[in-house]
Amino acid sequence: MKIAEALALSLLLFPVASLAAGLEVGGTTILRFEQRGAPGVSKATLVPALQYLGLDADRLGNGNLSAHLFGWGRVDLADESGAEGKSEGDLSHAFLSYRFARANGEIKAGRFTLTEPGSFEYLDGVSARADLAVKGVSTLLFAGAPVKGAGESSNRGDYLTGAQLSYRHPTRVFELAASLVREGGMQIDPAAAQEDYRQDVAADLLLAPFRGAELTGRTSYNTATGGLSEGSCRLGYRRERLSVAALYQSYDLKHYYAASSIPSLFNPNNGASYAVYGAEATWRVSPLLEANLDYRHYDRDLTGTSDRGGGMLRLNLAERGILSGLSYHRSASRRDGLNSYHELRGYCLYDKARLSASLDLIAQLYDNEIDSEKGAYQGVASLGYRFYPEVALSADLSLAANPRYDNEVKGLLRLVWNYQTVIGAAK
Amino acid sequence: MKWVTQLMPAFALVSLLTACAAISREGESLPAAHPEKLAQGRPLCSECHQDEGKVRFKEYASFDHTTGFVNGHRLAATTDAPLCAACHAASFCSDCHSKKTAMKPSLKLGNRPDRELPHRGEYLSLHRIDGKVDPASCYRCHGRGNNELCRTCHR
Repeated sequence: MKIAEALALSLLLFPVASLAAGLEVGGTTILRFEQRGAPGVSKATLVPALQYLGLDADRLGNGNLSAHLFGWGRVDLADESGAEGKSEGDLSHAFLSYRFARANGEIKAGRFTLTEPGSFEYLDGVSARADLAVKGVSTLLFAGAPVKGAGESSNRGDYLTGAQLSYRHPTRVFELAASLVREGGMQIDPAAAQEDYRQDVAADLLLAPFRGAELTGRTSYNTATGGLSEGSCRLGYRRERLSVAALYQSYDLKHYYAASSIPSLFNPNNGASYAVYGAEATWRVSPLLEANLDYRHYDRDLTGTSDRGGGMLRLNLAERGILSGLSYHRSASRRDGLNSYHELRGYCLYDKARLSASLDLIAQLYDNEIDSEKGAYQGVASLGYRFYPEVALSADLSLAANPRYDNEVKGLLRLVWNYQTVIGAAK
Repeated sequence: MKWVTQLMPAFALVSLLTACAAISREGESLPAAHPEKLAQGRPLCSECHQDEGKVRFKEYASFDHTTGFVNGHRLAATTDAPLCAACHAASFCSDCHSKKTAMKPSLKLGNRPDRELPHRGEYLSLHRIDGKVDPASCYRCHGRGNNELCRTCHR
């Protein structure tokens, strides 16, 4: 969507917003400065100006109707910063929602996203959801056209439709959800032995046999290619401050990548498949401190096995306005030619009253040099001031050294404003 | 599985008719927004709701925003989207999940190091490794959109 079109739509929605009993309008204006220098390549100076704009108008009409809009536009003031020229924009969502007082009923119309199919679906159309008379049964139906991007429209279809039917046991936690997504009328290469649609049938299962324990699973079947694309399960146990989980995932890329819009990168014909085995634990040491450990073992037929694991400590001193974290992760590959690395990160954020400040440091250390460099380092410092509860200005400075650039300097000015007449918590 | 394709319109019609005829008349809908402002940082639902039974038949603790929950929030988004919407506007999801992004989320939100955002630091070098180790994780966001930058090299 062109910036002018997005602006026109925004202006049309503002009069509607004036009728709302609960209104939240917010914007973020960003002016970014970036200078890149690589050996043998001329320096590039990027100065993009960005505007994000969002509007949520609640309790329109009889109180059940709401309008939502979010989009952004960018203009480059110096060298080109994006892949689509010196200016671009996007309307992320613009929809009306009617919520019913009972049965969690909701009808949406316009441009919106859906998460229920297990993948993010971008839709220009309508959706309806409700709990049914059989206790625990819910349904969701949707239909419309898939939202097409500027440069990746080649395999987007003419229509997108689907449904989810789920059952959740009212007393014992047992849940089964079946979903179906079909995108039809896709343009395909006539030489490719491929259907002109994608259709995924998925089932999600949740079992909680006793308090604190949860077994969840998901299976996705691609009916266009006739194979299982994804399977996963997670067994978790939570007791007071400790939660632990084991997980398994498997992917068959022939079926998982079948609708790729960039087959040169995600090539379904490579026919690879792989499995992931993992475990994680989270321990809330105290209300202020949380420790997290995670581990994944990747068993891939093409690239051999790899392991990734590490931990993170998070400190939450919310009353003093301080949030802090420290993490270490290691990615180790057991295949010649595939690199391994360590990643260390530490951050601290102070945000209280009018002042905010943060520092974020990250180091990535490679086992084998990449372009003669042993690692990449980045530091981001931010300082902000809240002039009013609704208006805040902040500035970020980022310094980095990495295999791509000898030195990378980025600066960013951010003006965030927010006007709301919402009762209760703002979103 | 051709029969699934052929039966799909019938499945949709039956679902629609069933839904219209059998919508529950019991039980109030979840509130459109959380009634109280939440404290800074990741909320633990069970801290305030520990004596209130369940929400959507699940324990409140199931939705505690621990690091494990945040990393695996896909399941909650799949089965409990109306509950997510009580606190999160759609634009919150758009920070990371978008068919088209103006800039890297960690750059846009450089003043929020506490948020779990993808590709922090210098990821262009690392993607050559991570992409070979776990390519499905790349595909979820870049397989069918938001891949204009990928195309500059992967032609």
